[in-house]
Amino acid sequence: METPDPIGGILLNKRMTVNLGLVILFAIIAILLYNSGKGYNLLLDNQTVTINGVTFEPTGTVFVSVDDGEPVELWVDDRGMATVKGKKHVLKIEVLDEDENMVLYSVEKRFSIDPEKGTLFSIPAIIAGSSEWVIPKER
Amino acid sequence: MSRKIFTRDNVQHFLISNAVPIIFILLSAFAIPVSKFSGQYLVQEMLVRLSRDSFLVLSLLIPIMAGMGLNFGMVLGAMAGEIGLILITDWNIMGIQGMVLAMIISTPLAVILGWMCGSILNRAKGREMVTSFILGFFMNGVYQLVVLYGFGKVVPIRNPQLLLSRGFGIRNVTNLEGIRKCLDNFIPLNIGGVSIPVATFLVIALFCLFVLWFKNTKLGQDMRAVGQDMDVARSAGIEVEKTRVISIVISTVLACYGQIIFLQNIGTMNTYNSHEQAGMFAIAALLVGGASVAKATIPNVFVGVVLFHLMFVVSPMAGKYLIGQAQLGEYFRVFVSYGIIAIALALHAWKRYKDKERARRSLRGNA
Amino acid sequence: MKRILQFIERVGWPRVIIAIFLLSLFIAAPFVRVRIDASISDTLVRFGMNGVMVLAMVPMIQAGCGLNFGLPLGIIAGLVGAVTSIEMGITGLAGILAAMVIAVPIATLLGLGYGILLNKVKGGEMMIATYVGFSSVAFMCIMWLMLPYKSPNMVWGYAGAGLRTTISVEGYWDRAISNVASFNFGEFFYCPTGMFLFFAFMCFLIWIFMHTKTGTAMTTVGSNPEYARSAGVDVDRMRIISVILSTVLGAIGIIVYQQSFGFIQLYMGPFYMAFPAVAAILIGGASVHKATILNVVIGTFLFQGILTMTPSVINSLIETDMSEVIRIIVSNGMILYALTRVVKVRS
Repeated sequence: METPDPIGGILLNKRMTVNLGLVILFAIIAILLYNSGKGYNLLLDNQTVTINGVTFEPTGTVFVSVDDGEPVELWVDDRGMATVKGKKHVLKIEVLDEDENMVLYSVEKRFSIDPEKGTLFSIPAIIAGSSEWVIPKER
Repeated sequence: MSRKIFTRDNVQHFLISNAVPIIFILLSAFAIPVSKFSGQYLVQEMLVRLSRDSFLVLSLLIPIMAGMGLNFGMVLGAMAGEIGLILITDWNIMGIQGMVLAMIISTPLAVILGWMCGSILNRAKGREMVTSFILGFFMNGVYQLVVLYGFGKVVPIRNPQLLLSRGFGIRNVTNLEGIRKCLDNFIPLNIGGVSIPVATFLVIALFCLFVLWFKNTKLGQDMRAVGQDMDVARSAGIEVEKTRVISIVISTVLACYGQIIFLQNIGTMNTYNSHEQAGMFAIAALLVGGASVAKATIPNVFVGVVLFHLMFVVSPMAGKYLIGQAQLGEYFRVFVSYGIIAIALALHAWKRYKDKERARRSLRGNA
Repeated sequence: MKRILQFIERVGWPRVIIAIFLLSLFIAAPFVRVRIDASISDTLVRFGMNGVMVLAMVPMIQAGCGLNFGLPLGIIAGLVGAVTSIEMGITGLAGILAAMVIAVPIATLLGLGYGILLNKVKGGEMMIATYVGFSSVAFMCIMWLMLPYKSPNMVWGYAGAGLRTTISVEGYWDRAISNVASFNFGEFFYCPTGMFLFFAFMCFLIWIFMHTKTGTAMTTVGSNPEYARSAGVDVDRMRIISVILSTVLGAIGIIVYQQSFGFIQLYMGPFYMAFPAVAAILIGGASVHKATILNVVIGTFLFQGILTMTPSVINSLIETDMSEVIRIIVSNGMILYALTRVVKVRS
């Protein structure tokens, strides 16, 4: 029998320490998997909306793509959806001109999903460069 | 001394000891042209089924090594895996992360179930196979109790798409779209119109290496000793009961992973039926591959999966073109699946009985 | 108190728990608005229906062949008899007699083959019995499709050939045995006296057989094969006789079951039918090596009682249908318990 070595007042021998270490390792892996694998539904609103007292208006038709995916066309007052995996993503918005045939400019936003805040994003707010672009959930 | 390999005795011995696979090859050789399936279709199908089912069949090897016979209790591992999958579907974890997470969280459950199964089997020495068979049915009832009544009430399920309309209990079909083919497509490869799930085969290869390595560890040697003769092993100082339980635990955990791999390929889970067939088909496949209740090798696994599933795929169409009813082909393959297990069990029991008779007779001094 | 504990130890905790459970279901019934007379009537009917099939377990257990998981083999013989009887168009008790007369020889033949197989695999009977049962049911699935039966209420109307999955016996011999000397008590209570008489008759026959020279030889073979062999008993022959007897009882049993149930279930119907019978006799106090007629009666009553009462009572209580799950857990749990009982070492 190996002599047990005390850790934090509890006597543990080498085998139990290894087992405990493995359990903790797998718990960490599980948490990492959970965070990187969890799917979220992003709802992208191209409507007039007021967040924290500031109102944003849509610029017109836009093309939105997430993480270099297929661009989705969003008209004014339109809502699009994208399913993503994990928390960190890149949103690319291409703003079209009045005749809707030329890209005026594009906005890229790196963001991290905060489950507490929700996944309802306001396109106009992002274009305007606001620091608050998540539409709060209705109570 | 003659160096000929193909002597009459050798050929006879080869034919008898490999009777089952040979019969299957002959049957398939007859049925394949009748069924009018194209070669490419069959090759693709067999590749898919190899990648999907091999892991489950491989999980049966270790209990056979330890003398526990065919582990019908692998169904318990399959159930543990399914519970893991239900949970990650509820949490909406997608892709390979979802699959691995399901494996991690269902492992403790599989270990507990395996330990329970092993302990019960230790109380039924000599009757392990019937007991694990009935235990599978019993746990199916417990599984239904938990999943049909507990999930949603005792275990919180947030995704309403998973629950029945009454508010608790998981639906009959669980959609695993999120992790569908996540392992298969992890490393994609396409040769001549046939897609090959490289990652899955890598996992299977790794597992085969594990089995080979395990056989040479002290625990593996102990298991083989216990499998040969329990009393001799006990007098050699091996903890027979504990070794037997460990073999079942390993088998159950591997069956758990095997079921998850199986389901990620299919993409949908029959919440209450998927695991029932898992045990039966895996055991039938192993026996078709030439394994017996007392001895099973890795080649048995792959040969068995291919032959068994070949017959499985080809029978309905062969039945349709031969007799006019596809239904007949389906019943035929059910008959063959059960019949092959009956034959294999009978051969094994007959051999064991003959050995006992011989031993008894030698004790009596040829009375 | 000590005597009560001793009694419970002898009877076994699971049995006591099941009996108390059943009793509490009966007591709870009126409080959840379940009619007691309908419940008792249902229980009695199911008791009569299943009795003979549970009785079929006795010969093989006594002869040391273990639990007869291969009961489907006998059931198939009974099904062939029943279907042929309807094909010939015979009604009433004569129809039942015809079915049995056809089924018994088939069952004897099947039992003979089955018995020879079991003799070659002593020690592994139960597992092989299960898969022989399964394979034969699957094989008969093919047969039911191909056999040349023509009676219009039995074959698929569309194709004109191949038997249907479920065949009604109404108009032929529906309740032919049950109705003998039966009586009704109000709207909900029906007592199938005929079935009880028949069941009692079969029990009596078996009881007599077990006390004949052959019967006692069979029991000896089961409890001590070495002694039986040294006493000059042909062990193998006794085992085959027990298997044949078991299979024949299975054939008769399914005919009794069908005349009460009202339908003949082909194809995968008989697939799992061995398990309730096995569970019933184990609940009644039998073990893998010893079974008496009393085990059959008590076990069938307890098991069918639970099967009848649980759906109605518990469903009214919790408003969910748990009957199927409870049935699975109780029947398989009981078999598990019997399989894990430690066997005393025999010399």
